[in-house]
Amino acid sequence: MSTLPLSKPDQGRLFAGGFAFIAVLAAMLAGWIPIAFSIATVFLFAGPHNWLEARYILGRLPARTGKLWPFFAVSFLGIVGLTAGFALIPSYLRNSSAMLEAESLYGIWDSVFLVWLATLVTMRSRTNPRFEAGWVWPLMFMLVAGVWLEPFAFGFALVYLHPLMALWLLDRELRRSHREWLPAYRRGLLVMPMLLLALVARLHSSPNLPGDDPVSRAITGHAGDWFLAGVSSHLLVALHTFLEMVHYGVWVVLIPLVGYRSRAWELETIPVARRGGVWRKAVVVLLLFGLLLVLTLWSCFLLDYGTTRSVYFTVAMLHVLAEIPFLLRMI
Amino acid sequence: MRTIIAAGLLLAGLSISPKVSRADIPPPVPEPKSIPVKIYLDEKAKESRILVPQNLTTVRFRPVRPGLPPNAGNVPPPTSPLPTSPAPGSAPPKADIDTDTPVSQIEADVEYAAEPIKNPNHLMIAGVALTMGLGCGGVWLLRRPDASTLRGVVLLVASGVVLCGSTLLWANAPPPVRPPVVGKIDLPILSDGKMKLEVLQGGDTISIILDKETYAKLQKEAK
Repeated sequence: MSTLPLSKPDQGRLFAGGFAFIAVLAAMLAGWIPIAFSIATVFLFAGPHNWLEARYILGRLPARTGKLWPFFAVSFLGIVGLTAGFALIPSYLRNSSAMLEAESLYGIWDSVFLVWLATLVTMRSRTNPRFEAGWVWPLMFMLVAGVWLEPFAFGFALVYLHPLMALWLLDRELRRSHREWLPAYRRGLLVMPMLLLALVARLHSSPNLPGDDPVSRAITGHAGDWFLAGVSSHLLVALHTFLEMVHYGVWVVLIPLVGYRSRAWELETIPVARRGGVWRKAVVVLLLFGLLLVLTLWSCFLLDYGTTRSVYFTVAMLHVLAEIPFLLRMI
Repeated sequence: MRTIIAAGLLLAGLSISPKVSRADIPPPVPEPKSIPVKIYLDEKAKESRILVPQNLTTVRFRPVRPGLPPNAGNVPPPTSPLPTSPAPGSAPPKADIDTDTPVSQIEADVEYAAEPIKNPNHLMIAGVALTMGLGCGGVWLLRRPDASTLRGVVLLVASGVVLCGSTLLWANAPPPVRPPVVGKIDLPILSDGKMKLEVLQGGDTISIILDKETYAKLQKEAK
């Protein structure tokens, strides 16, 4: 990008234009053929976006935790613990001696998540650049109250809000590496509410999506048609698929364009790898293992899309949670 | 002076918000719409059933995940009701019933699906969390060093008092009386009895499964 014969603000406009193009295309396809588009986007981009995200995070992690080790320890425990808990809830419910029902279990999970998040924000506020974060605990308790009144609502809020985190991360990355592009990018973000409103206006009265096969039901269930029973499932799937595609577009195209200081396979810009020895080998093994997982995911999608999708979206909670402490460090 | 005017406007707005938001108004009756209806004959059934997709109702339940037992919770399981093949030797069922009749106007003496049982502890936990949130918020506001804190606290307390007072005054009115429902359908009755109502996850078609006895009655009445 830096070799283009354009001024930096013009480069920013081109970048923002690219983002807007991805968003508009995603909205059109999601509204027109939501199920097919959802199947295609998850198949094509789910695995690669996770790998590219991991590569980006490795490039931004410090070589040594130093005084930040409590923050990283709490982050790691939360990411692994919450992901494991989320994955184990269905098998616990299958147990005939289960003492708690689904609403209580998801209420507990949501509450633990909120406490973890509030702890991370508080810890982050005490490191440079410092900020006042006393408000986070009253807000956390208010959200916990809401979660126990409606345990499943928070989960669906996460499903719809998580794709937007990528936009925030991209904003922070541009602030760090291409500050002159930031104004154009933020203006470009205005297409998001406009496209969301356009989808709602166009599809709010559309009939529900047909199809009783397991894949269609998994897609509409994940978009929340059983929870928001009065809303057209066509609209819900279109909204969710649109947000997911924007999320994938940011991670697969835009962040690698601006956020990698070298090519993805070059390890010199990964601080942990620069420590040499076993650390470098560990980074190589991790990245290769990630590639293997991507190929395995594609193979499993081809063999049994429905089951693979269900398993993927359970395990994918790990990457959703990993983005949170990473975003906090970038603020 | 500007702060006082802004605060006064805010409090006035809060005082009418319960009335304006009209939170006690019930949702409107859905408009009639045409939906597909299929009628099956199951000679082995002991009773007739009517299967309505959840999207056509206001009933809400958790979806049954693949591999999870359907009763993983307090909600009655949706069953897989449709006969996979027509009863041997039987004629295809005739659509004697007017399938274009809007769902909201069909009169049937039916049992409704059981509502999910709410855990009473959840409300208690929510109340405790809300109390702690208000307490922590108050402590945070009072411990802040800047001079605007006291103004903020006063404004917050005044807002809360106004909102609570106006809610008590306005928002406990009963909902307005809804106009009476359209009268009975003026058509010959082919069958007058009970059907078991089941709510299905997914789909967009209402399915009616007739047992042998009901089907025989319908054929007799039709002649």
